Amino acid sequence: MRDQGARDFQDERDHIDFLLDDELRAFRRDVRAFLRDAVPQETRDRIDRGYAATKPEIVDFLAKLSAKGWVAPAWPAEYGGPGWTQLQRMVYSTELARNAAPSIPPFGVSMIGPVLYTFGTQAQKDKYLPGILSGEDFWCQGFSEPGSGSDLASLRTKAEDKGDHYLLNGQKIWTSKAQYADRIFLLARTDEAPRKQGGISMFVLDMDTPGIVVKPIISIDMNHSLNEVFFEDVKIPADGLVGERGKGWDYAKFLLGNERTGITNVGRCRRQVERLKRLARADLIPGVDLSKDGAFLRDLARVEADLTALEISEIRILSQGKNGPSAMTGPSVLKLASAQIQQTLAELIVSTLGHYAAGRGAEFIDAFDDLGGLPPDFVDGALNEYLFGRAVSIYGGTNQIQRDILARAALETRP
Amino acid sequence: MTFLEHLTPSDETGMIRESAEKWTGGISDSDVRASKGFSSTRWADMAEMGWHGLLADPDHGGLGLGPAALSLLCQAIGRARLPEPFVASSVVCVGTLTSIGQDVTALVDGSTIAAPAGFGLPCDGVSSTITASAGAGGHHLTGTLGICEAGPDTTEFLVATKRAEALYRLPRTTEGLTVRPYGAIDGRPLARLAFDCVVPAEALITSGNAARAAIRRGNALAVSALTADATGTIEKAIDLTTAYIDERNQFGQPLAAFQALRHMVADRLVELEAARSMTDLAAFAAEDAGDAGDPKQLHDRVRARICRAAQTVGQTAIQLHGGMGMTDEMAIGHYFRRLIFLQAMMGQEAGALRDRAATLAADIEMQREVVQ
Repeated sequence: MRDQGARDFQDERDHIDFLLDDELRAFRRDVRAFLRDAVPQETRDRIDRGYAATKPEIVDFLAKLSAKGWVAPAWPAEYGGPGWTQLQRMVYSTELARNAAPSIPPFGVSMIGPVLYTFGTQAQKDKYLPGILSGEDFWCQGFSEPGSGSDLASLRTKAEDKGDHYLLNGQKIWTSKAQYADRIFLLARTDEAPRKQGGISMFVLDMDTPGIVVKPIISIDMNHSLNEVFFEDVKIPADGLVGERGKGWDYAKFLLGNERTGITNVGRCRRQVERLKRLARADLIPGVDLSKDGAFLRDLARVEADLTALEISEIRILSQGKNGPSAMTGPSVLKLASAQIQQTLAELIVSTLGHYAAGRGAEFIDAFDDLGGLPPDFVDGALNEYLFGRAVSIYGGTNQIQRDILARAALETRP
Repeated sequence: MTFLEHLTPSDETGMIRESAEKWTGGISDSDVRASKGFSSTRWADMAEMGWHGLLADPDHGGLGLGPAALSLLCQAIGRARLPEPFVASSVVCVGTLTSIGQDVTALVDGSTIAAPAGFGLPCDGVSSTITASAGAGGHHLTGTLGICEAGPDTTEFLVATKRAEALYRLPRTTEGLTVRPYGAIDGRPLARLAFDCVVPAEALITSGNAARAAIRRGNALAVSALTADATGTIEKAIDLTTAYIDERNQFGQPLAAFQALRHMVADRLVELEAARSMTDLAAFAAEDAGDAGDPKQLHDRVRARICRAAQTVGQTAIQLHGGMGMTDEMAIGHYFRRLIFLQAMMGQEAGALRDRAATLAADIEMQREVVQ
């Protein structure tokens, strides 16, 4: 049954195709043709089933993208970007997910890279940008702290100016992929200021600097992607300061505002809808034919309609650009809608598994061999995505923070 | 035209939006209440601005514009909750008739008003049960239709027979046609039609594949116009609600200071964005009817999503108006009822999901066969 789980969408002419012009259609075909060869079947199969890509899989894929100049779609051409339009970038990120390619880690490409080429020194650009573009340097993000989550500006990690270096002490948390990272960008307090957003600076430094300790956090999917990072008397060379001292908060806002393309994960969602159709005929629940189950079909139809609206919203909002009427509310609207859809899809997938939702791992699949009822191997992995998918409405600003932002845009009253 | 071009209004389309916003901006809620379902002055104003002929060819006095302009206009009409049968006459009838080269001059200049019967309104397919049989004295039409957007001023009907086999154009005065008026939930006039009439052969304006294509065109325009109307109505309902909770004080502060209420508003802004997206998609699907394959594939999703947006925004708007939301005096209830009317005309979320689920079931079955 493995080939089923890995079915791809190379030649499908779908409703998105019909929304694009000839140029974008041709671009989309090029991306698909490239992905057909660039993503090994085994990787595609694992990702399709809901597993995170491994570091070697990511490294291998990034090397192929790098050869095409496709690692950093949003970067200006002068810094090594492909010079694509917003919509090309949207098509590109959608196709990556739709074809179950490893996703490009955002920390270097989407987060610190644009900050460095916009605010960094020439030396910082020369030192850091090539490693991001080649896919060789892995970055992680040191923003959240145990006491500073949604209220990030209350952060307490401290960087003291010691002349030729800053002395860093404190702790970061939820640091995704820190265990793989070569470098970190982080926010730390350099000065006391009347506004808590003041006095915060941004730094870049190497993860092998003495005094940095990474401790794993095992998440509810029983996997390890999150970490705590401790800093004890870590010396950040003075040239690790990004831009101006005390302006870290501005750079952080700039950084988060740059995450626009790929925010919605519509490619993965579209693939999940297709997986649901496959699961519906996998007959995993004894005596139940989901293709005749009105409640299931109705749930699927509803989330599919939501997804269609989200796909159009993304095209609409991106094509308006940074000064369009939805510039302020767009990202929050897209994130809320997308979180809802991603979580609903993952939940629906689990609902199609019936009793198989109880098991986990390769042994679970094999164990059924003895019992004579072998489930398709794509059953494993669905729970990973369901469990870790609960984070979609938490990271990057929780749903509640997004709602606060939207309410501020719509209401005069300031609470 | 591509979708991206569609998203960028042309100069002409932009002018339509401006004049629509300007004109509707001068119409107050009490004007709309006073007109009790129809204002001949407004209908004449619309004629003056060329709106009845928006979709008609210039040689019938029309502007020759498309669904993009129509969509903006219908949003403005929804915002102002105008009760006139603009979608029925100037969108569905003029659009359908124009697609088959029929004369629409009198509809365009506003001297006549037409109502689609058995298609368009409601827009979720062909609801007609009317049968037609050709005989010596002409064509005999029989059957009844429970819902038709016809009022006292409606002068003619565009009648689809069952399974969209044929399209007849009949004057209201046709002998044997009974029009029984009743009121819609949002105050506009509706009617039940009973046909037992013999009409001249010329009343049959198209049949067979051409009739099906014309009716599909009418339905696609109706989906687009109703979706746009709903989006305008949703926008206005949100505006009224945010203004109300910003102003109303309880516990010594504006209601809008309470996070629980703020978050309800935020969630409805997400609904509004989905509504806008479906409006653009429906307009584009109506624009491109020739190339889009089966527009039903999109229409079911459009109807499902816009109806849910309409329902949740309407309910939230009433809730946030508190007791005042329950009164007929406040405008919000009128917008709520307009949203209910529009949902009914689109078959409601439940109907749209049922239709889409049937397609998905067939898809799943087909894949099963491919695998086996």
